[in-house]
Amino acid sequence: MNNILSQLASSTSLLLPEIVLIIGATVVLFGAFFAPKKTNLLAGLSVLTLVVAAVALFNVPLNKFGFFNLYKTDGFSLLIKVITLWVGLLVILLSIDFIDENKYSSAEYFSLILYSISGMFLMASGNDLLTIFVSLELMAISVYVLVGYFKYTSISPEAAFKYFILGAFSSGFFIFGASIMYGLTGTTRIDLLFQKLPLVAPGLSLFAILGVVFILVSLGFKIALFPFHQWAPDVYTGAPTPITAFMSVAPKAAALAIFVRIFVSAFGGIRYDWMPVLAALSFMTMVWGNFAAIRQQNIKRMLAYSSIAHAGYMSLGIIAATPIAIKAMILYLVAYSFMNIGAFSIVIILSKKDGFGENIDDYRGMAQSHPLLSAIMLVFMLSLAGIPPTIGFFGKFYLFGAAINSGLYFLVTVAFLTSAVSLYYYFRVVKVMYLKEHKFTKEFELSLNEKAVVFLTFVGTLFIGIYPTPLFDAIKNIFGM
Amino acid sequence: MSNVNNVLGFPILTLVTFLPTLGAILIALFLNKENTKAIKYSAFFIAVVDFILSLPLWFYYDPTTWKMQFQESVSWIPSLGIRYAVGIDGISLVLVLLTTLLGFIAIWSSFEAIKHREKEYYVLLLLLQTGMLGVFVAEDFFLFYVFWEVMLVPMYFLIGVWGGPRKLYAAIKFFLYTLAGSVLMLVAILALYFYNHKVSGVWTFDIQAYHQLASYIAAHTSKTWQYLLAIAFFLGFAIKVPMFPFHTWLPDAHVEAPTAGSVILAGVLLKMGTYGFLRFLLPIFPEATKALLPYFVFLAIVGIIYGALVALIQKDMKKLVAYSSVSHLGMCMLGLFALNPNGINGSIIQMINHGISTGALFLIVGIVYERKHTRLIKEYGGLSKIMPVYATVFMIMTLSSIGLPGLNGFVGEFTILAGAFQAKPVWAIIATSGIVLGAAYMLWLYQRVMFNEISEENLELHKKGVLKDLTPREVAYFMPLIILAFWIGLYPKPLFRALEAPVNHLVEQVEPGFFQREQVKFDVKNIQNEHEKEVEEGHHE
Repeated sequence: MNNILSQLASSTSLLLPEIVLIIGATVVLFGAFFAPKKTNLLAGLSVLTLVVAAVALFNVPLNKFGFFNLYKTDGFSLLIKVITLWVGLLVILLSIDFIDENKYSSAEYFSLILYSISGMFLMASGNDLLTIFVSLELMAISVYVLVGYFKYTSISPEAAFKYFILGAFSSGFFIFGASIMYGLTGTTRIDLLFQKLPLVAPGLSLFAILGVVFILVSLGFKIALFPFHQWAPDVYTGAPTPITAFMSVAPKAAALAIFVRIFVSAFGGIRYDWMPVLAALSFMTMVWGNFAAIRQQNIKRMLAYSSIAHAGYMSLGIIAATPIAIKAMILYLVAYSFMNIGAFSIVIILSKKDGFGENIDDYRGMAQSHPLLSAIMLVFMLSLAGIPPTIGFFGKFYLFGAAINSGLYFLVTVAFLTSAVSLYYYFRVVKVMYLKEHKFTKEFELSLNEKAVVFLTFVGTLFIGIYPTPLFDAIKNIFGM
Repeated sequence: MSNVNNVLGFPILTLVTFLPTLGAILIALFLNKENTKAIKYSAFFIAVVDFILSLPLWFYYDPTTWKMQFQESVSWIPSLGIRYAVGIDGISLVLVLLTTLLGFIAIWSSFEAIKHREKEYYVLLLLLQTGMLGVFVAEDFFLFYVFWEVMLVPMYFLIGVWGGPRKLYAAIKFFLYTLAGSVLMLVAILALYFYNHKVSGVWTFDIQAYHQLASYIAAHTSKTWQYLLAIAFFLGFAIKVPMFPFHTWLPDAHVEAPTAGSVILAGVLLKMGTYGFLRFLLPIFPEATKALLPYFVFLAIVGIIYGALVALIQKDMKKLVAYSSVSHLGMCMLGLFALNPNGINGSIIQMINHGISTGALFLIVGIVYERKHTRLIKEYGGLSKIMPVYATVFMIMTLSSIGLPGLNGFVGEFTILAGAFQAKPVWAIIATSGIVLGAAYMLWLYQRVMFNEISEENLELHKKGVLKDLTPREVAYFMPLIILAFWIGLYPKPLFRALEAPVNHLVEQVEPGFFQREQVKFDVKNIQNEHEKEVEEGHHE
C-alpha cells in the first residue's frame, strides 16, 4: 500500500503539464457563467494555460516512468507535446475573431481545445495500450464536439455526427485489437509487448494478425490513411475552419505518436510482418490523397485531401522505423504545423464573416489588391508542395532521405512524384490569385492576433526553410540522437 | 567560418549570384508600382552591374587547371554536412557569363513589350537570374538542387502572367514536367548521399567528393543500382534539355512565354540540363553512362532530325525557333555523348552559340510581334524593303544558327561533328543531315519573311509607323550578341583555352586513360616516322 502511494506521489510530478491543462480548461469552462461574452479574456486565459503548461513541460524530467510504467516521458513525447501546444496556441489565436463573428460562445470552445490537448499529451506519453486508449478517447470526444460546435449551421453537426460514428467504430477496433494482444501475451504494456510478441507468435498466429490489423485499422482511421480516410474530406469541410486547421495537425501528431509507440515499439519485434501492409496503405494514401485533391473546388476540401497525402508521407517514417526516420517524421510534423496552419490562417481570415474564401475561385485576382497576403499564401503553397527554400522542402528532403536510408526506394520515388502532382492543386490557388485577371472586391481586416499567426507561420515557413539548422539541432538534442 | 579563396579577395561569386535578388528586394520594397520608368531602369542597371561584376571572372580565371576557382564555403546545416559552397571551372564560367549577358539583354528588350504589372515582371526576372546563376556556381548538391527548383517559380509566373493565349496551360506544364524530372534526380542524390556515408563515413553533399567516388561506385555496387540512379539523373536533365521524347513542354512554354522569357528559357534554362549531364551524370556514373550510351545517343540523334523536321512545317515563327532548339540541343547532347575532348568542347561551345543565336532569334521574332501582334509567317513577306537594319540582324543570326563558317555556329557544330566522327562515324553522318535540314528551315523562314512581295497591309502599317525598322535601343541590345557571334566565329581560341583543362579532366574521369591511349597512338606514329627516317638516313649513308 505504501508502495503504491509513494509511486503515485512520485509520478504525479510527471503529470504536471496535463494537470495544468485540465485546471486551465476547467477554469475557462466556468468562464461561461461569469464572462460568457468576453472572448478575449477567455482566449487570454487559454493562452496563459498553454504557456504555463509549456513551462511545466520543460521542467518535467525526461526518460522517467510513472504510474507503474503506464506513463513515460521521453524526448519523443516531449516533441509531440510541444507540437500540439504550438498548434493549440495558433488555433486559439485564430479562433477569437472567427467565434465572435459567428456569435457562438467561446468558453466551451476554448476549454474543449485545452481538454483535447491534455488528451494528446497523455497519448504521447502513454506506455500502455489502455492508457493510450483512454487518452485517445479524451482527445477524440473533445474534438467530436468541436467539429459540431457551429450548431446553427446544417453542415457542422452533420460532420460531427459522421466523425463520431466512424470514430466510435475505430475505437471499438482499437479496444478489440488491444484485448487480443492481452490475450496473447498477458500484458498491455508497450515494452513487454515488444519482448513477448515475437515469442508467442512464431510465424504469426491468426490472432496476432487480427490484433495487429484491428489496431492498424483504428490508427489508420485516426491519421486518415487510405482506405480509412473517407471521413476526412466531409469532416474537414463541415467543421468550423479553425477546428479544421487544428484537426489537420494536432490530433494527427498525437495519433502518429501512438502509431510509433505501438507499431515501432510494441510491434517492433514483428516488424517485417506488418511492414508490407503499411507500405501498401502508405502508397495508396499518397496516390489517392494527391490525385483526389486535384478535383476539389473547395479549399478546405482540397486541404483535407492534402492532409491525407501528407499523412501518407509521414507514414514513411513509421515504415522505415529507424530513429532517424522517427526524428524526420517529427521534423516533418513541425514543418507541416507551420505551413498548414499558415495556409488555413489565410482561409480563416478571409472567410470569418460570410464564408467567402472557402472556394478556390474566391481568391481570383487577390494578388493585385492584397500583394503581401497573396505572397505569403504563395509561400505556404510552395512549402506544402515541397519547393525550396521553404520548410516544407527541408521536411520532405529529410523525411524521404531517411526513408531512402532504410532502402524504401520505391515508396520514396512514389512520394516524390506524387508531391510533384500536388504542386498542381496547390498552384491552382496561386493561379487564381496571380494569373487570373479579376477584380478582387472582398474587404476584410486582420486583427492583431491574426496578424501574429500569419507572421509566425510565415517566418517559420520561409526562414526556417532557408536556415533550418537551429530547429534541426533543437530536435536532435531533445530527441537525444 | 567563411572561407573565401580567390585571387580577387572578395566573395565575387556570391555577389554575382545574389546581386539580382538584392536588387529585386529593393525594387519590391522601395519602388511604387506606378513608377514604371524607375522600375525598368533600376532593374536594367542592376543587371548591367551584375554583368560587369561577372567580367573579372573571365580575366582572373586560371585556364591551366581544371580545379574549381573563386571558391567560397560556409557551413549551412552542419549536422547533415550541407554547405553553402560555390566555385566555378571553365565550363561554369562560360555559362555564368552567358547568363549575366542574356540577363541584362532580356530586361532591356522588355522595356516596350511589357505594359502591365511591370514591377512584378522585373522583380521576377531578377530573381530568376539568381536561380540560374546559382545552378552554375553551386558546388554542393543540396545547394544546387535548391537553386534548380527555386528558379522554376519565377519562370512559372513569367509565362503565366505575361504569356500568350494558352499561358496558364503552358506555365503549369513547364513547372510539372521539370519538377517531375528533378524529384527523380533528388531521389538519386539522396541515395548517393547515404551511399557516400556508408563508404567514407562522412556526411557530405560536396559534388567533388562524389566525383571521387565514381570509380568506387562502378566497382562495388550492383549494375541495377547504378543504372537506376543514372537513369534518374538522366531523366532529370533530359527533361530540362529537353531531349526527345521529353521535349513536349518546350514548344508550349517557348511559344506562350513573353519574348524575354523565351530568350532566358532557350538561352540559359536549357543549358542547365546539359550542364547537369556534364557535371553530374558523366563524372559520377561513367560506367553506367557508357553502358546506356547507345540509347542516349539514339535519343539525341532522333532529337536532331525530329526537331528539324517539325521546325520545317511550322507556320508560327516562334514555334519554328522553338523546335529548332530541340534540334540544336540534340546536337549538344550528341557532342557530350561522344565522350572525347572534341565532342564535349564543341557541345559547350554550341550551348553558348545556341544561347546567342536562338536568344537573338527569339528577340527578332519578338520585334515583329510587338509591332504587328502576329507571329504567323504568312502575315509577313518583303520586310527587307521596309526594315533593312532588321533584315541585316536577322540575316546574321540566321547564318549563325545554321553554322556558316566565320560565325559562331560553325565552330560549335564542326567540333561536335569532329568529336562524333571520332567516336563513331555513323553518328556524325546522320547528324549532318540535321544541319542540312537546319539550313533549310532557317533560310526558308528568312526567305518567306524578308523577301517576296510585301503586302499592301504591311506597307500601310509601315507608313503609319507601326511596322518600323529597329529603334536604337533594339540595335543596341543586339550588338553584344552580334559581336559575340563574330568573335566566336573568327577567334574561338580563348573559349577553347578556358574549356581545355576542365574538359580534359572530365574526359579523363569518364574514360580513364583516354589521353594515354591517344598519346600511345601518337607515339606509335612518331616511332614509325622516326623509324622510316632512320631507314632513309641509313639508306643515304
